[in-house]
Formats: sequence, structure tokens, C-alpha cells
Amino acid sequence: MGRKRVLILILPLFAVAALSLFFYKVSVESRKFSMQVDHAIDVMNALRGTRSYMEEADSAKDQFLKTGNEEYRAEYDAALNLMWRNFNYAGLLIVDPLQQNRINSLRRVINSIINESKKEIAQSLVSIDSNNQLMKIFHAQIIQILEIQTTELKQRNMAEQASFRRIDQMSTSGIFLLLLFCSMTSFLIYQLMRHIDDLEKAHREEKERRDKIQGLLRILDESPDFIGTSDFEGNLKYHNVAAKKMLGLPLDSNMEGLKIADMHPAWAAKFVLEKGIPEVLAHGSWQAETALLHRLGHEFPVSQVLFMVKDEQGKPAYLATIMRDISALKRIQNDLLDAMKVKSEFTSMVSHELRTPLTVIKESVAIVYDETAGPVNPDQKDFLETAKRNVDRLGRLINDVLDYQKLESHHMEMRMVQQSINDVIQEVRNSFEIVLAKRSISLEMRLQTDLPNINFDKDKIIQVLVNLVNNAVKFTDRGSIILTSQMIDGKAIKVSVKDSGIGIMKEDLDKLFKSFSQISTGTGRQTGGTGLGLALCKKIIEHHHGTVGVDSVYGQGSTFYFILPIEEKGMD
Amino acid sequence: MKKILIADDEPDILKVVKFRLIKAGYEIMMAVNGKEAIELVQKIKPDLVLLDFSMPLMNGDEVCKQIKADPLTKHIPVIMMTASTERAHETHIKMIGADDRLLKPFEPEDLIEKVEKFVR
Repeated sequence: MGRKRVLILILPLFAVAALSLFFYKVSVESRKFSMQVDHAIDVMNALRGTRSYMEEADSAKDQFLKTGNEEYRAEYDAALNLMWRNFNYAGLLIVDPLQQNRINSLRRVINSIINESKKEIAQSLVSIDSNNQLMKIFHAQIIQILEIQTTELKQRNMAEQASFRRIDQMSTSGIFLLLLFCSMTSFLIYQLMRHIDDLEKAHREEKERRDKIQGLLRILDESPDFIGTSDFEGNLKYHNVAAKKMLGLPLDSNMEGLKIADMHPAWAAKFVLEKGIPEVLAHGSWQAETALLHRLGHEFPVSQVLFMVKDEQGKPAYLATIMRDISALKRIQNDLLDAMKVKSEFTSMVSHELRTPLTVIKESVAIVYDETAGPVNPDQKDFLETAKRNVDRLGRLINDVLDYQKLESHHMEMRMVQQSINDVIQEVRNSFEIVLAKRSISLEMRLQTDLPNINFDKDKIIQVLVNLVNNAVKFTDRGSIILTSQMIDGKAIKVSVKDSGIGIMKEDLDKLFKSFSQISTGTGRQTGGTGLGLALCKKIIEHHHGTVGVDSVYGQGSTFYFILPIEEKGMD
Repeated sequence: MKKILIADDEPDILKVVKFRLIKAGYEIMMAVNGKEAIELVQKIKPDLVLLDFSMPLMNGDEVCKQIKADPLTKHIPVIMMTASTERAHETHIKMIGADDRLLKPFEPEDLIEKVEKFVR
């Protein structure tokens, strides 16, 4: 490509070089002519000099002869001498052989003139006649030579002018032709190269386009998803390799003649044609779980996307679809649903099958214990009480485990109602009155009276509060338990249960809200706890989008609290 | 003497509840499935019915609904007994038209208290 561009540049350079050479030639030629002209002028000047010095010598001689003045004599000698020099010079310059002969014959004349004059003048004898004769011959000869030279010079001048004119014409037309040739050639070459460039570009673009299409086709064929198109009448057009594999068709098969309805089981075909295609026509795309029908007759679930492809003018051109085999996903989903069903069945089984015998045990023990079935002695009564207490504990454990499981799997139904938290605290406090009457603990309330109603499940919050108060009662021997409610920044309500009990060691604080992590009280105290109480509280409060926490100083007491948001954040 | 019908498919439950209520001075009749229960209610018209939720042939929900749908029996108070916290929930109890509930395992005092509430 670059080389061709250089050619375009070289051509004018070549033209410039040719022009330079041409002008050089012209200048050499013209210099040669002018040298010849200069030479002819020199010859003329020398001859004219010869003539004028001769006339000068003649007049000096006349003066000398008249006056006898020696000055004229010297003048005559000098003029004669200069005449002779000029003549010699002319003789040297003249190259024409004929003129040369004339000059040579004249040279003899001039020599005798000079010799005789010297002699005559030296003797002061005047023999003017012979001298005059010789002078006349010389004069005539010089004039003849001059005339010839003049004619020659004229001829030369004319020739020179003619030659200059010729050169002029030649160079004008030469330059014009050369320029014409160069520009024509450049233009042609330029056009040619542009054409070549266009061809190359078109070729390259075509190749790129082909590569791109090939690449796209490879992507389509390597895709494990079904990719295909059809017209709006449902006639299948393009289909990738995966499509043929999924339908169980041979890879070299042509899918022409097949319709959308042929590749789906009946129900899915109906779904796609009656629901999918209208949806695509209305909104551009549709997706759903449908199914494909393998050639051997079995169907399998797919996740299908159906969409419209538009042409360059933006008009709907055809339908395209992508389908992914979701058999594995479906299997997992079904397994999961089965597992969830089993779990829920198990839960209800446990709740029924464990609670029923527990009811019987509890009633039986109670009937004997309260002597409805006859008197028992104090030792027997003591053991019956132990049995009773542990049956109760077992009952609580069952309840807690079930509750915890439900909260964990988000199966716990929350009955959220806008209501007063203070009413609930009051209710819980009242339920503890009888228990606490027997003990030296006071249960006080410090409630903020202007609290707004908030959204919560009353039964669940009571469960939490009872749990917290129960814990406080369990670990407090004397002093007070204080229930407080207060607003925090107008955004939440904090409810706390403060006791003056044994407190909790710092290292145990983190374990408190974890399931089955009863901490050692170090007192051998019979707590009857299930190890799930606080974990349950935490779960319940978290289902209310709240938080639970504890502050405690070992030996001085603990404060358990929960914070419920005032703004409703949706139900569970 | 007030008549109380207890319906439960668990003989041991029947046994302990019957014992306690007889001691408390009531006349007791028993049914071991829902069908028997509804027949006894229609025939004897007891003063109170204690119904277990899950029973063969007809479950407690259905028995309760039938008692409450029949103008001749709908005045009879029904207390549902269940081990399921869901079914013992107030909304469910209201839905089937029952008067009260006893969540298994119940306290002996609760049983007497609830019975006395309706049969006085």
C-alpha cells in the first residue's frame, strides 16, 4: 500500500529531474552561442583598432612631415606600434582559413610599411609615395576583412536568435507536454490505486464479516442451550447443534418442515402458542418453564425464553428462543419440596406423638400426687413431685424445640398487630404475681407512658418476656426485678428486665443466646431450663426485625433487653 | 349430675380424664372416634363435649362443626383438646365454632377450671 503511495510522489520528482536536465542542456547550448558571438565581436574590435591606429599614424606622419616636430614622430611610432598589435591580435583571433590567408598577406604589407617608415623617418627623408601606396592597400584590405567579419557577425547573430527561438519553442512545448504527461500519469496511477484500495477494503470487510458470522455460529453451536428461530407462523428456521441433540434428531438433519408444536409436548406447545407468542408480540419477550419432547417420546422440563428479532427497519422479523434443560434443577427442587414436606410432617408427628403420652403421664402422676386415687406417704409424694417437675420440663423442651425449628425454617406464623407494648408488660407482670408472692423478690415496672403502638405478635412477645422474667426469677434470691419500657430516638422501643441476681461472667455473655448452651451457674442451682429459651427469644425478636442483648456485672445482676422498631418493616 | 362426653382415640387419655372428672362429680361418656362422638352427642345431648382434634373416621374439627351446625346441639359447649399449637390457636378455634381449647399436655387444674367454666 505504502509503496504505491511513494510511486505517486516519485513521478513528479522524475518530471522535475527531466525538466532540470532539459534546462541545463538549453543553458549550455546558449552559452556556446554567446561565446562565438563574443569572439566575433573581439575580432571586429581588433580590426577596427588596427584601422583607427593606422589612420592615427597617417595623420601623425603628415603632421611630422609638415612641422618636423619630433613629438609627431613619436606619436606616429606609437600609433604604428598599436596598429601592428591590434592587427596581430586580430590575426590570432580569426579562425576562418580564408580570412587567415588575407591576414597573412596583409601582415607582409604591414611589416614592409613599418620597416620602410622606420627607415624613411630615421633618415628624415620623405618618400611618401611608396608609403602612401602601401597604406592605401592596407586600408582597403582591412576594410574588406572588416566587412567580411561584420557580415559573419550578422549571420551569427541571426543564427543565434533563431536557435534561441527554437529553444524557446522547444522548452515551452516540452514543459507543457512533460507536465501533461506527468499529471495524466499521476492521475491514472492515483485512480488505479484508489480502485485497488477499494477492492482491498471490500475484500477485508467481507472477510471480517465472514469471520464474525463464523464465530457467532461457533458460539451458537457450542452452546449447550437450545437456540433456534422460527417465523411467526411457527415454522422452524435456524437451530443449533444443542437443539438437535435435545430433540434427539440426527446432527446432519434438516429441521425444515418442523413446527414449534412438533418440538414440545402438547401441553407446552399450547402454552407457548397461546400464551407465549401473543406475549412476545405484545411485549417483545416471554419466559416460562415449559418442556421439550424428545424424538423417543419422553419430555423434559426446560426454562424457555422467547423473544422477537427485528429487521434493520425495526419491523418484527422472526421469533427466537433459548431453552435450557432444567431436569437436574427440577429433581433437586422436588427433592427439596419432599424434604420440606417430610420435615413438616415430622414436626407435626413429634408434636402429636410426644405430647399425647406426656399428657397421660402428667395426668396419671397428678392423679396419684394430689391423692385423687387414694392417699400416698410423704416419701412417695416427694418422688411424684420430682417426676411431675421433670414431665413439665420435658413438655417445655418439646415446645421449645418445635418453636425453634419453626423459627429457624421460617415456618413460624407471626400474627403482627399494632398494639401497646406496655399492656403486654403489665399482663406478664400480673401472671408472675402468685409465683413471686412466695418469694422475697419484688417485681416493679417503670414504663414510659406515651409510647406509640407498634407492630408485633402478642403471644410471641409474651413468650419472650415470660422467658426473660423467668430467668431473672430463677437467678435472683432477693431484691427486685424491674421491667422498663422506653423510646429510643423516636425510632424504636426498648424493653428491659433488670434483676439484682447473681449476674453473668463476661466470658459467658457471648454464649447466652446460642441454642443448647446453658452456662454453668456454679451454684448447683436447679434451673429446669431447656437451653433454648434465650436462643428462641433471639429468633422471635429477629423475626420482628429487632435486636436482643444483655448487660451484666457478675455478682450484681443482669439486664436483658430487646428493642423493637417502631416503623413497620413488613411481616414475616 | 352433669353429663360430659369425652372423645379421643387414645384410651389412656380417656382413662385419666374420665377418672379425674368422675372424681370431680360428673357423669362421663366416651367415644373413640369422631363418628361415635357425633352419634352420642345427637343421642344423649351432653352438657359439655371434650373433643380431640385428630381422630379416626371423622376428625374433631368436623365433629365440632356438625355439633354447631345442628340447631338441636349447637348450644352444647365444645372444648377442643390438641397437641398442636397451630390448631389450638384462637383463630382456628373460632373458625370451627368451638368454645374453648386445652393444649396437651394440660395442667390438671386447667382441665377442671375449663370444665367448670361451662358446666355450673
